[in-house]
Amino acid sequence: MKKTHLIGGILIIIAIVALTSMVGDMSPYVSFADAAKRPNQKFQVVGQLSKDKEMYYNPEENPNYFSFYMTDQDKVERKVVLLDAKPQDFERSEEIVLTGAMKGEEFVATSMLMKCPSKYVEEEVRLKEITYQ
Amino acid sequence: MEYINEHLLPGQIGQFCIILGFVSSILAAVSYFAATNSKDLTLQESWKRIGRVAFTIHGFSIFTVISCVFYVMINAYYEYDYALQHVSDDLDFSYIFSAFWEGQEGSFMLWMFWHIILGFVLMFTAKEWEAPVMSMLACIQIFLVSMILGLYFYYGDEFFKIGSNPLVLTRDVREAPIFSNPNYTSLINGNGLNPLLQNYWMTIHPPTLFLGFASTCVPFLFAVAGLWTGKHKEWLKPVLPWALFSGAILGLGILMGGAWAYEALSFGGYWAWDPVENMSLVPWIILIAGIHTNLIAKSTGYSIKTTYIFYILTFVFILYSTFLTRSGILGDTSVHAFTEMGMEWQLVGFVLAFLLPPLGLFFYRRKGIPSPKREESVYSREFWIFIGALVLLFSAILITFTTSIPVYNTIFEALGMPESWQRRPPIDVIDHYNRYQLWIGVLLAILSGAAQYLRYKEQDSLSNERISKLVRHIGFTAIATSFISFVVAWTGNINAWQYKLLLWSGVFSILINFNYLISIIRFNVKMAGSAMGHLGVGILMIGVLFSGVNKDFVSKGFMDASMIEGFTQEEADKNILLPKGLPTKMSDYLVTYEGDDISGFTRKFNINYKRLDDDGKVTEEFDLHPNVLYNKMMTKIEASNPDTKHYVHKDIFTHIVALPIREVDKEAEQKQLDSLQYEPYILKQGDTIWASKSYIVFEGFNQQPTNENYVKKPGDIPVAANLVARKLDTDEVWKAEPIYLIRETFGISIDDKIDELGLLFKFPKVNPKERTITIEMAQSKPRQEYVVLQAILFPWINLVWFGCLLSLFGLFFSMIYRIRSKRKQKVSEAK
Repeated sequence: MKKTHLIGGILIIIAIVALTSMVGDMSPYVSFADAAKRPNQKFQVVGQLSKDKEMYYNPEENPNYFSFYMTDQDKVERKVVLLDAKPQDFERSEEIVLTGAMKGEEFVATSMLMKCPSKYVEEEVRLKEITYQ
Repeated sequence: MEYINEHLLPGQIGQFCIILGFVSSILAAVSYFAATNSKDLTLQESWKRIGRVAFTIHGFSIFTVISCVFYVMINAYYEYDYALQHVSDDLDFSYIFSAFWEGQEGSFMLWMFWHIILGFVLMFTAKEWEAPVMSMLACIQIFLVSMILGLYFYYGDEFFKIGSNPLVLTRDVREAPIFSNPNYTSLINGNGLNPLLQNYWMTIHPPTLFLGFASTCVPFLFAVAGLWTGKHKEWLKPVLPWALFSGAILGLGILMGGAWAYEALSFGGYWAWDPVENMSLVPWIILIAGIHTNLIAKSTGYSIKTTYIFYILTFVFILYSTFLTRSGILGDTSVHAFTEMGMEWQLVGFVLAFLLPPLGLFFYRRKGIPSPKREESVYSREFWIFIGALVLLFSAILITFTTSIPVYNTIFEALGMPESWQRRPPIDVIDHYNRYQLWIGVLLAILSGAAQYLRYKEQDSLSNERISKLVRHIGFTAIATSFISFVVAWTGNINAWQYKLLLWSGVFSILINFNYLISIIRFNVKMAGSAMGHLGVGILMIGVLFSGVNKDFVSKGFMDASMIEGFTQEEADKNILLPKGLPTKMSDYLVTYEGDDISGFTRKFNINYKRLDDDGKVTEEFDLHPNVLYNKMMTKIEASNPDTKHYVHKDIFTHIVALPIREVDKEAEQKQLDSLQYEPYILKQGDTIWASKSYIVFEGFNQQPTNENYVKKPGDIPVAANLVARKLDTDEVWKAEPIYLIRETFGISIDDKIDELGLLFKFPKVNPKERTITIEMAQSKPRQEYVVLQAILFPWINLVWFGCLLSLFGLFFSMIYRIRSKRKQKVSEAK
């Protein structure tokens, strides 16, 4: 067999091995219950902000502590502690993805992604406001 | 309805030119196609002439469309929807370009513009390749113009749209009551440019990047032309300067994106492995692989098939990248928010149209593509460059695989697969990619240096002389590298063995390429470009290693990570609170939030840094000015921009993470204020009110109040109460001047407050008979002014910029050298 073809074949095998292991990183979302089954292991939990419950951020006390309540996809609500500042427009988030681990009854998150209402929708509303005077 | 003050002519001219541009690109494609396939020379020439005229008409039509859109935007004609979306009355003229390409239609036009410029150059320089190359380019233009056609039609019940037209009238695409007013143009103001895009980067990054995107089509065009005409070897030489140009410009565009992110955004870095970033990098990687196999093919005749594949894939991945970016499929997996325009199927069609036919043609022609009978020798340069190209391809595949997760999810959903098949992007994106890209980097660094010492078409065994020369160069460099890496790792605190290996390969690459550059530049200037390019890559790797691995959150502060099991200290505290005027210790620095300035919508903060040595003496001092941008109503923060202190060997990067609620959310602030309880006090002059930590004396009246909440109007009769507050344990004095204002026979209270003590005062009544006044006082928490700051130290980040620029310069250098030698050759041939 040609040397280059041999090398190519080896690389393909390495690629398949690598890609398969990378798939392991692409976990589906879990719920609070799943995270609670393995405390101290990091997961991504998706859910929505419980707008009626307390949100606590007091930077004068601790700028890296922000707590709120979130409901996951199984409609389970838990208190969340985010080890970072409260992001802008948090109250308007449609969906939240937390990265962290369950600690007792609380979910402690090191990072958070927010999905906000599409900018396009916002602009539509704003443009309607602009044109309607 | 007769509307007044509408300027319809630019729109009409532009619309006509869009159609003309579309039709003329079809004509150009067909004519050049016929020219390529015709055997008769005179027929060929006449088809070519038609093609040239058609393409020129196409070019100038598109230029006209662009001019019309610019005209409409500069004059803020909001009757045009594109102007309404991207321009506002207060938009600075310097941002008009940014506003132009803010929208998808604008960036498509920018892309078309560059293709036309490149097309004109090709028309003059491509010589015998003009016909096939221009034919394919015109095909590409057909697809691009279709993106701005704006053809709407119904098919049965379904509504279809082809393209999004930049010159539609607002009243044709939006429903609003205002259009019942014939003079609506005077009543509306545009949306303006997104505040995050109001900086100079938005003016220079898109045109550079889009020229990069556009230029990747040229190697593609030549590749297809080679397959089409069956002249599988002759295209390899003229295409090379174009490929080098594309690599340099696209690389520069990507680098600008990284610099923009680092300088102006607050995520703290230059590369986030964001899907949009990744998909502009992948075509570049494949292009570089293609350039290398192109070199092999030119010198040895090996790897022609591979070169075809790489150049075709480069352009196809550009189209795939534009599909991902514009279709909205990335959704929440990317911070680059582009609005969907309903053009998903058009974009998919675009990708398939330039993937399937060229691949089909390749398969059809594969038997005719020459390759030498003898296999490459393991000791030959072409063998190892080919391995390197495969490694690059490997890197591109890995990156694409993860970045395309939203595509898999969409396909699975459409096929009705169970919910559990839906995948999420990796939790730790940086770790996920770096895990493999690190090894790729190591391999490439070592290969790119060492392979230069091998020769093309080397035999299957080497002479003793050759072996000893190789051992000398590569072996000695390896020893020197090991020594230097050991020292650097020790002083630079690089501990993990993977990072030590990365360090070793980076240093090796730097030393060997530097060695090669010095020794070769006297004899073979052509190779200097590649040595510079590889040297740049080695420097870049060292820079990435240090600024990434040893990146340090300087703003460590309060929280003790041991309170929370399973998290590192780094994760637990990245932010620090700086009360105004209070020097706060932050790593080796004493930091003070001194104050701020508001100018327009921007609030700039003055943060003073003092570096202390062990004795507490100040060894260094500087100020940084991170700022925040408010929205138009000044009620919310739109963006937070960092400020960075640049040293040669490190950067200190600072940005504002949070401000007191009252600065940031006026609604919440108002709610809180409204919920306070006010207690009434009846006071004679000299009386005292006791608060929880202070006491307030009513010292007298003031007819000339300086309360900043009060704006004097004619006919006002203001009376202010001088309230002086003191704390029990200090000599400090604070003043408040609530005002009882008589305006048009009504008595109103103008409130005042003392933030530091948390006291709020109203002055609702004067009791002239009793000679007393009524003051209402509420107590809330004492309010401090503060900022929450994040500061990151990036060691040796300048190596990242320098390494990249050097690599790009190497590409550029090679390109210039080849163009010049071609000219010299022509001159000597003429003689």
